[in-house]
Amino acid sequence: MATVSFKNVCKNFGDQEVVKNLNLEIEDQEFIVLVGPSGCGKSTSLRMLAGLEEITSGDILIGDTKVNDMEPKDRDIAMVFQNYALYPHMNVYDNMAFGLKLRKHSASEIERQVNEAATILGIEHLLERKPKELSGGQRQRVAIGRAIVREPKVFLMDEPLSNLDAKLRVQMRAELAKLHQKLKTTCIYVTHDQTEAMTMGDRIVVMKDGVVQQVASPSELYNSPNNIFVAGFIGSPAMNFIDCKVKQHNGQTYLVNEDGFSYLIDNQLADYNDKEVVFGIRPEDISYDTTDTPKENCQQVRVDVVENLGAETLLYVSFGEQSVVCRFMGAPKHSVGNNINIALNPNRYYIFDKETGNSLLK
Amino acid sequence: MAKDKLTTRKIVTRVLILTALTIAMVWALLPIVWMVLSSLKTEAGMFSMPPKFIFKPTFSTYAFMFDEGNFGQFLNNSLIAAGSSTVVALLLGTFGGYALARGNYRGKKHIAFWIISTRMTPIAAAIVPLYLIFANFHLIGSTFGLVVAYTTFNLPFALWMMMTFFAELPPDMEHAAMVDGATKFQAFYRIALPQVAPGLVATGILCLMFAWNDFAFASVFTGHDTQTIPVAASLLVSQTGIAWGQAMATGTVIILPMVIAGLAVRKYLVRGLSMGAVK
Ligand SMILES: Nc1ncnc2c1ncn2[C@@H]1O[C@H](COP(=O)(O)OP(=O)(O)O)[C@@H](O)[C@H]1O
Ligand SMILES: [Mg+2]
Repeated sequence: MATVSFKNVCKNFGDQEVVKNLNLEIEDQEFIVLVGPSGCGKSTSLRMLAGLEEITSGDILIGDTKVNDMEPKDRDIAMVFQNYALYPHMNVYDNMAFGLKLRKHSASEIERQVNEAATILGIEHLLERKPKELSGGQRQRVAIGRAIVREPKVFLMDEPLSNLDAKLRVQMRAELAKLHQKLKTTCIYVTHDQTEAMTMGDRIVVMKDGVVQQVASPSELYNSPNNIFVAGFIGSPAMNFIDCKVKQHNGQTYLVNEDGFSYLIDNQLADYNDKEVVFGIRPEDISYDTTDTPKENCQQVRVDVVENLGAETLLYVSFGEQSVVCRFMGAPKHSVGNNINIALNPNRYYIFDKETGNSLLK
Repeated sequence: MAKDKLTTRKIVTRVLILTALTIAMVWALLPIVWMVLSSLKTEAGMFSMPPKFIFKPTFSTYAFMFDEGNFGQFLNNSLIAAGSSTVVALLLGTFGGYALARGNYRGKKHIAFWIISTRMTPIAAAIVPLYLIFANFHLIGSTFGLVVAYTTFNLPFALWMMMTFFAELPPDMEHAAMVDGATKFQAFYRIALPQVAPGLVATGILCLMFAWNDFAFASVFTGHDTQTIPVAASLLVSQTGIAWGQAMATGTVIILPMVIAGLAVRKYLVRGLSMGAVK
């Protein structure tokens, strides 16, 4: 178990800057998730830590040791790959024992460790099989087993669940979380799926184009995103964004636009009078019960699409050119073509600078 | 009705395919069968009309060649020349191919292409310069010279083949091994190499075949004691006549090992040669 630090780490492939000035302090026993759209440099960051990719500049530390030039084998880490990367010519037992054999553990010790890890993951009955005789979920378990059997300082996982079907993914998500509570090994987990990130991470690192956008706990990311990218990335369905202008009127501040949108905010935004901003509101912060909402925060809309998910309903509505998604609990109460009034929660909104995309609420 | 029609058409197609295959098989096998049978007959029996397919075989021709002639020596020369060049080509080709597939340096593609381009040279064009070089180093007439000559053609071929096989292997497994505690060499040797084994076997057979069947190099570079079987076979056709019995027996000895080797590793050969094709 150990801490991990990235200090001003950069990575270029030729002229392409793939990771730009990554700074990150990961605590001992932490489960940290790197999340971001595909191609944003998550895997590259992880592979630099594993020693599979050279660092263009900066330092990486595991514990107090600088590992920039250390061979992967000497870093005492374990990695789970997206496509599992099991050794196809070895059976499950040998796959899991490979690292222990290289480290010259005794045969009885190896057997004990492999059996222990296999029991934790429920794959004792598969030890004699070759990887090609396993299902996707079983391969996944073997790949995790191969990682935990060595009791490394740090686990690295690169989209380990993305090849599983949806149901299995949800199940494995919970199992991995449980495994981490049990083993307490520092874990760095890469995914492009914000749900995985939100459900698993102690802290989440949101990346875009090789740049860290925000490092925060799931609830902080959800409640106070740094910028419009994080706001739109975290949460499903994604936050609604409405372009508008700040207008002071009778000592109050409104956000208005040409589609007839008008929203009263309690924030003064004095510097922004008459300037363009982006208003954001999450689908779950919209309701159709307008009784308690000031009428300045209500909006008349037309219902375009109704999605009934059983426990909740997604309503795709529009006014003027603007489309908005709303999320209500329970069965749908409206049908397509209806004109309804929706209430935008007057307290839970986000405002971003139109140019920089940064949040104006901090 | 429709179903019946389909069945008829299927049967016709079947019959046509089988006929074509039979013709191709007879076309390919008849000369070989005829040669092998002839090598087991006396010279008189060989030309009897109509040809006999059932007869009492005699090994007198083989016995004569090995006991009275130098045939054992020639067979030995062939085995050493073809075997050594194959081993050298596979060994260096595997390392080189891995380096080209996994290495990350400038001009990699150009180097790879230059290497395979040397294999594209017609043998006839290479013989004269090689002869001059060999003459300088006193390699003419030696089996070692022949090994060098075969290797100049087999090595680029083996290197290119092995490079292709390694390049098609996802590198993640080697990476997993290195994170697991393997050195680069252990990852190569224990993870990558076993997976390209079919390719390695297929490449080996093709190298062996090239050297074993070669006549051009051997006829120029070997001397009396170092000649290989194909050269020895050609000498059976002399001004005074053709030693038919020995020619047939020699041909059989040339073909047989390759057929047996091919059959033995057929599984790998097909998998190796189609490694890139099916994925
Ligand atoms: N070996 C490489 N050579 C050149 N470019 C690469 C290499 N590996 C990754 N890249 C590029 O770096 C960027 C980040 O890749 P990666 O870290 O794999 O993204 P992610 O894992 O976030 O999807 C991508 O644009 C990708 O094309
Ligand atoms: Mg990736």
